[in-house]
Amino acid sequence: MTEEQNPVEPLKREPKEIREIITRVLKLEGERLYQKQPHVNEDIIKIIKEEIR
Amino acid sequence: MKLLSIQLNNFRQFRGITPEIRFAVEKPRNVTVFFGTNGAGKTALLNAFTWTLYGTFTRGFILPETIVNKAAIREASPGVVVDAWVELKFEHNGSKHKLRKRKSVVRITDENELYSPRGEDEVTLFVAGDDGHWRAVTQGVADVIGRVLPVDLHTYFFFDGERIERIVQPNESEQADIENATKKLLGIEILERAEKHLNYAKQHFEKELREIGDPQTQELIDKITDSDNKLTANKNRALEIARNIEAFRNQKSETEARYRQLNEVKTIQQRRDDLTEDLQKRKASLELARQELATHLNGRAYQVFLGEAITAYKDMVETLRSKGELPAGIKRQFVEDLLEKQRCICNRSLSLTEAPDALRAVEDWKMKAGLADVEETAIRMSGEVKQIEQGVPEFWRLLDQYEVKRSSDRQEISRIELELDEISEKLRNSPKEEVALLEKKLIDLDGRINVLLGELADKKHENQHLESILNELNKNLDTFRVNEERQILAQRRRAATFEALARIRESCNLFEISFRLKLIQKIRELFGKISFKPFTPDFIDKYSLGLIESAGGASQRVPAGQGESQILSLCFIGAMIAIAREHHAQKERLPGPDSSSYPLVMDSPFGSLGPTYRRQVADHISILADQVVVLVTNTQWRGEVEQSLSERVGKAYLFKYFTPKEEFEKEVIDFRGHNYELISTSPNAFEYTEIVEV
Repeated sequence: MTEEQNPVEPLKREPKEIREIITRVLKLEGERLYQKQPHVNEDIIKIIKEEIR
Repeated sequence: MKLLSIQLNNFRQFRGITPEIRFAVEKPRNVTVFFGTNGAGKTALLNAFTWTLYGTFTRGFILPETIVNKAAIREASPGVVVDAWVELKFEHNGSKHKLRKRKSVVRITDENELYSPRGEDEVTLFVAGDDGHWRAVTQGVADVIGRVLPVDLHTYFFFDGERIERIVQPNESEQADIENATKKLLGIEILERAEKHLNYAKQHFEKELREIGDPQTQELIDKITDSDNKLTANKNRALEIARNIEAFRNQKSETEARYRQLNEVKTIQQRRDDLTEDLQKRKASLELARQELATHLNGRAYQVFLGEAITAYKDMVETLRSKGELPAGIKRQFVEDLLEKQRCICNRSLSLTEAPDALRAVEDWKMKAGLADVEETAIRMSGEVKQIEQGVPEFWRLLDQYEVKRSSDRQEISRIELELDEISEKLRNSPKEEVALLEKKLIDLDGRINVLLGELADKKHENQHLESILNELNKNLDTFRVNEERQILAQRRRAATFEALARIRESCNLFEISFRLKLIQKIRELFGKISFKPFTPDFIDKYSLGLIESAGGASQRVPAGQGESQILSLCFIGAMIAIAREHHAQKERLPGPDSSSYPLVMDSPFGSLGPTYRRQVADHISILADQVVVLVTNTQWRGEVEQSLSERVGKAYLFKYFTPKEEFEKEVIDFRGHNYELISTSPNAFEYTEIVEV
């Protein structure tokens, strides 16, 4: 691991479906970051099911 | 976040409603200064910020439960409710916010008590709309504030200057706070949440796969679940151990503090404190020497083993020389040209039919000429070989030097430890019962801490092992052959979730590495500007800072004095702010705190600094943050600080302290050519403070 490696790089790496899962999960977490009970578990499972068919 | 104004009512020393105190906002006059004598309310104002925003108080704020002004309560009739409130206005991403916090008490007539609390503190937040009207935020006030300036970070932005040295030498729980703050700052928290929730999803798909899978799949999943559970239990236990260690260490410091109060053993404890400090320094120095030695060995030890290769190389070159093949003296291209022209430089023909002997003789030269490359390489390598040979004695010399240093450190460590043992023995056998008991308690605590440290190391080791097992099992599951379509799908979903999890963990690690790197670079940059000493700040532990002197090649840790520690702390804060600001400006970032501007509110920031450092800090204070509020006494202000800051002060206020005492020493502050009295006689029996703009 080099010191210059971009911390965001692992999140953007191929293949597309993994990248999509990460992007969508992070977006969801971001939207519910300040909620006390974000209830995201089921939504995340749904995202994975949609991306991997 | 830009602080716009604050207004107080019956808050501690401030009796009644103060005027609305507006803060200087824009550079270059972005400094607001408050002058006040000791006890006039500097720390109270600092805590008005932290209480209103976060419900917290700084360490130096005594009796935090008594917020409501005493005189106001005393003057109220029994049964009457007395309020204290703070109203803070700030701007965040272009919109104005008004935050108000109220504490109410009821006046009672009890012999011992003046009042009784009345309900919870009331917090209301309003945000100004585009039409300028205030709209109340009804839910999640703490969340909104968390987005403006996260609670874990607030101690860096609102701080007590007399205690800031602690920032650079944090204990374990303070290190954890810094880590949390960092996560908030960079938005890593979101990755951690995603990790947690994806883990849940992974378990969900495993369960699904287990239900539809064959017995082998089921067995594999059971193993994974089992190891997963063990790992989680271990991690929880490790956290618990760390908390217990922290608690025992606190008990230890309390016991030691008790020693310092006992007259009989005060001096012995002082000696023990000094020895313990020396011991820590020696241990740190030993560790540093170990690291340097490792670097030295990694970088140069190979040279020692090159003796045979060097001899072989020299022999080879010598043989070539003796055969006349070195130096080659003639270029291959030159010979090739002659052969092509079929004529030698002596004008003899080199044709195969006319002069076959001459041609062969010249062709032989072509072979020798080929060695010109070898010659060039030989010259270059001889230089390198010579350097290596000369480097060997230097390598041994430095190695000896490190060894001497390490052995002197080790000797000193055992000497100190011996003396500490003797002190402990003496105290344990003390005729005074309290002393003997305290010492036994200390020994007992040390024993417990050591046992826990051992267990912690074991758990960490065990976890590494479990993680590698899990990795293997997970790989097996991903490549396990399943036939049915439903199984294939469940397996793919699980594998994808697992991969997403791994990437998020990788990203978290990279964020931390790059953050630490950026942080130390910024700290060095700021320290270089402020300090005149030739030292470089560096991390000694995860987030604790030390100073390294690197004069004459070898670097050595130097003890940081109180002044340097304060400067380091300010640099740490400045670096945090700079990183937060830069992070905000980045296009590609995680959703973190939503601010590009940060205020710095500092109570007595120049407390124990010498004149040079006072000037340096004052000179650089406005580059540390976008907006600065300083609370100072007369002595802290006048001289260097005044000269450096005067031009940058946009707003200035006076804490006019009224004392019931008839005799007191006058204190006058000279600000921009006017003299202002800091202390006056109270018209009644109460002490209180008024805030006046100057």
